[in-house]
Amino acid sequence: MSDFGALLWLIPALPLLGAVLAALFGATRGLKDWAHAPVVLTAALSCACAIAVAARLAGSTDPVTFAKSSNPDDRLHWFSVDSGTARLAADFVLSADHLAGTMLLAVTFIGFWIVVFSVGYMKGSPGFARYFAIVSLFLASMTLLVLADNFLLLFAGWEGVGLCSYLLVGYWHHKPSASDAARKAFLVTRLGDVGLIVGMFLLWLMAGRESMDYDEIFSVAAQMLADHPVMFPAACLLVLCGAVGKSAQIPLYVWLPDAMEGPTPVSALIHAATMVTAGVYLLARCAPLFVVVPGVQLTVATIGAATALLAAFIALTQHDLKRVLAYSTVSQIGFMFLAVGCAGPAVPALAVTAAIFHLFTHAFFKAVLFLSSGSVMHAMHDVIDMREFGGLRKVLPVTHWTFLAGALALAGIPLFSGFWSKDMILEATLEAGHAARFGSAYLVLFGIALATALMTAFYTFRAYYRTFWGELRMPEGAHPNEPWVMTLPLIVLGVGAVFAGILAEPFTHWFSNFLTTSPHLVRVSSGQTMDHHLNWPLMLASSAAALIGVGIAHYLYKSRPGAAEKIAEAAPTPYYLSLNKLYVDEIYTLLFVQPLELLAGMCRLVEAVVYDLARLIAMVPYYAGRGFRWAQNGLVQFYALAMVLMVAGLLGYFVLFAK
Amino acid sequence: MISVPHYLAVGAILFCLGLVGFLARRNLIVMFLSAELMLQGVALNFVAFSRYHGNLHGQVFTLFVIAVAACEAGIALALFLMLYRRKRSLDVSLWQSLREPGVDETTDPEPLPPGPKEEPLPRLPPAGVEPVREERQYV
Amino acid sequence: MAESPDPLSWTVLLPVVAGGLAVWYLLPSTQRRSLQYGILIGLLALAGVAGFLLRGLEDHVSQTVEAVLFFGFSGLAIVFAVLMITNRNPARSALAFAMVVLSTCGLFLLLAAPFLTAATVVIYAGAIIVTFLFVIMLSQQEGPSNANLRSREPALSTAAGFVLLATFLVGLQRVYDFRSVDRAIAHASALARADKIDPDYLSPAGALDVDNVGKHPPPPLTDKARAFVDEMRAALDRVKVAAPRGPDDRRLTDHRLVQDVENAIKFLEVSGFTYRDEQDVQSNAQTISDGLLRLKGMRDGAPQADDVLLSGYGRVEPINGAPRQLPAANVSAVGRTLFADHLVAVELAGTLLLIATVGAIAIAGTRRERPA
Repeated sequence: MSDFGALLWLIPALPLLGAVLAALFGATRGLKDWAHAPVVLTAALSCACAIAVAARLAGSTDPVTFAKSSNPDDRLHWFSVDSGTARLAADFVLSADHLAGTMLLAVTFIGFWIVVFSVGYMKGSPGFARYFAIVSLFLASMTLLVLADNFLLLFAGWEGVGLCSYLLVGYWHHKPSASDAARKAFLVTRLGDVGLIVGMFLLWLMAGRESMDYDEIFSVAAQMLADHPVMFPAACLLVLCGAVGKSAQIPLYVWLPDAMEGPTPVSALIHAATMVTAGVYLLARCAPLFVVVPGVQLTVATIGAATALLAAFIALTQHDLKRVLAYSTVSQIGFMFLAVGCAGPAVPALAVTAAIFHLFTHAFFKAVLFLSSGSVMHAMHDVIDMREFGGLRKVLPVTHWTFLAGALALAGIPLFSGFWSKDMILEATLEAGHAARFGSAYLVLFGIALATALMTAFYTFRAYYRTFWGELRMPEGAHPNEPWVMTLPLIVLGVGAVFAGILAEPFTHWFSNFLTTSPHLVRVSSGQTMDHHLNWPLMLASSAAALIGVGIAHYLYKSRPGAAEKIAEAAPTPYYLSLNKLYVDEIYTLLFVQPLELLAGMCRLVEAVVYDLARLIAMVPYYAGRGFRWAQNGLVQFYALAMVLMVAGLLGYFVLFAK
Repeated sequence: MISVPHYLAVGAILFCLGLVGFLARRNLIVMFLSAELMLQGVALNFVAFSRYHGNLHGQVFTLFVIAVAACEAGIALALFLMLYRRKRSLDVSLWQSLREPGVDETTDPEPLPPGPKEEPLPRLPPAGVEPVREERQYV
Repeated sequence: MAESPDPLSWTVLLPVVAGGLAVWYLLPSTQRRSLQYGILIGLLALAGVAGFLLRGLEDHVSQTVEAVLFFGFSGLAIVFAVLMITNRNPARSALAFAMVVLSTCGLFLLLAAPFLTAATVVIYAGAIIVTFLFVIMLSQQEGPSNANLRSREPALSTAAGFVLLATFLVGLQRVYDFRSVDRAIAHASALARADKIDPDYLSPAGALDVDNVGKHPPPPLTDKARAFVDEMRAALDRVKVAAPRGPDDRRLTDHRLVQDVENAIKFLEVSGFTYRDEQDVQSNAQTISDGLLRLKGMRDGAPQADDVLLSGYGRVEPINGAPRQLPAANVSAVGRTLFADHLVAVELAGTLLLIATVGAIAIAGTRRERPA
């Protein structure tokens, strides 16, 4: 329908307008403190449009499209390149099917509440307007990414969110660690983006079509595999590379913990709820391609599971609350990758739904966890090291309850949202374990996932107990306050963290029904439907894992304080390995950064030699001139003497020697 | 017979003596006089050639030389007066400011020998006052 | 000239070196120097130059009144010039310059330029020196001053000047050294006037084969004859350059006089000495002698029969055989030459004088001090 199509382009356009207005307000003398107003407004409107689109989608199977028609003249033309033998055209076509609609809901809703939280959090900081402008720009890019109907537009949004992430992580750019972290984030994701763009172009080449529209490429997936048995999996792996970069999986996850240098709402929005999930969205969108290559799917799942385990291991010992949450994010996205990697052996509808459901719930509870830690940081005067404070439940009550809600959800305690989504992922993995190919591998991954769930529960509640229980200690200058602009989003998102899961899925199946009516998923599943029965033994097992984790945390951090230090002393090697992030950063520096620096140093040496050589030659006239400077001493008689000597010499030569 | 080369030799000697004076002396007046001496040598050459070629072109040119020398003397002396007013001295070595930056000023390391002692001016007793007379012993 | 340059003559260099030493010694310096040594060496140098002029260029300079006057005036000029450049007192330098001008005017008189004499004395020794003295008076310095008691690089300046002088004098000698020509002339005229030719000149008698004249090579010349022929040739080369070129002559060797002498020498070389014809030998020797003499005289201005006097007189005056002379009515002749041949230069000189006058007054006029 045309009116909803119009709504579609409003969804990215409104935050873009908000960004421009915020920038203009920031440049105007009197309006600097009101720069947040256009952003809040446009974020709210964008959310409203997303809800409207979702409502429209709920009623039918057709996706809502904008400017999409088979007639090329009706489309909004972006560019086309014609080289004689090949032609590539890209159009500005937006399409929202149910998958995109779900993503939109999550992005715009959480984005709006985080913007509201930021108004309180960023009050009084210089560059207030810059922050809001970039956050709004981020929302525009993310929605564009989700709504894109072809790979090139997706890539445009992809790059846009990468840029906004860089700008926001380096928000306090005068702090060297912040600007270094921003650079690291950008460069590491850039590695992934290179893979993505090469993969995209390979897919276009193999498809032999004139554009990179999803429909065109996905419809010939099987054909491509048959024609290019080696290059097609390679292209899929390259697309995976892009997803790995953006979603912070092994081996490109190292940027995410450092990206905590940015303001906490930024961490909540970009590095928990939305940007890092773009990789999962990409994999879900490219499911038709991955489904036909089981080997690549196994790689996806393995990467996911390994990352989950690794990140959880590191998170066990971190002292910085935000770092714990960052590694937790990496770990949870690993779960989502695991889920997507099960599509194929398991029913694709189930696998993709599991991943997207976990994405949805994770957005809520991770956002609320980050925002609560932001509130703690705000109250503790920018101190976030858990060793510096404790027992905060007495002074920050609302934050305490919302953090607890998020922690319960993250740990996977039964009946909270995280439990249901994690459970669905475990179910998909188990189903993939029964498949014909790679079944045993998937079972191993299942075991890893279960262990990771235990560790997740442990570190989550370790953080909870250390922050909110025990003696009340606050660092110097702490000023506990909870303004309503900050508590309101916390409460809203906390409620979402608690109830979003149970309401959406296990009993009502609203979520999966909504998602699986997407024609995209229908095509992928090729007729298979997911069965909705509840796997009680599995639920029991995962609950047990979660509760055991919570119990260990309770024992170590609440009932017996000091017990944790004793364990750390008893097992120093794993403790220090975990505390030092498995030295991955140092390994990367050694393997990649230092050789590059060496090369740069050699180039600098060569350049210095060439430059000095050129300068030496250039200095020759200068020194030659300086050699003769003594002759210009300003005395007339000296000049006349020189002339006479020369004349006498010349004449003498002629008289004596010339014929 | 005295012929051209003799006069040319004398002219050359005068010219070179004037050249040495121009290069060696530091007094502006003497420098200029040496330049005029050079012109005299040249005039002698011209007149000698005029005599030994039998036409008057050499003499005419000498006349022009004299005219130009007169102009030159006038203007040069006016300039010397201005320069004297600036530095209170006729030393040409004082004017070195057009040297290259970075080249040191040329100064004289040795001091001048002291001039002749000034004779003290005679002191007369003031007018109208009888000078003190020494008592003389008249034997 | 196709011969190698002559080696430097010590008759030139010795007086020049001595003169240089004298001048350097006499230039003002901060060290006390006694005048006597300088004067002594200077006088020696002067004597050396006089000797060079007397003997170095020609075999014989006749002691005429002209020579006495020439050496007198020249000596005075040089002495006063040295006095001028070495005196510490600028006023005395100016007076010495006045004496130089008077001596030079004496030389002008010798060179038949009475008007120039008068003009130079009036303008130089009269106006210019007086102006100098006025300026010296206006810019007096009391006590010892750098300007008067020091010299700027005396050694190097003297060296430069006297090296230049040596160059001039050596060049002069190279061009004007006619001693060899004088000797050749004497030789040739002696041969022409001798009663009997020295038999050493003549080649041994050979049969005069009338049919074979010019065909078979003649008997070789005797050594003396060969030397004589070479000497004549060298003298001709030396003196050729002095021959003026007429308007139609493109090459020096085409000048009639040079051709005559050349032919005479060739005749002597080829047939004169070998065929023992005394009459021919003597007549040709006379030709050579006369020709060389006249060519040498051209250096001094002795004219040819068809010489023309190019000037602004408006008519062409052939001069026959007498040495060229400048017209006695010097002033009117100078005037005529000025206004007929050099009118533009006269006007320009007048303008220059006017501008110089204006300029001098403008520069040296008293100026009001600018308010500080």
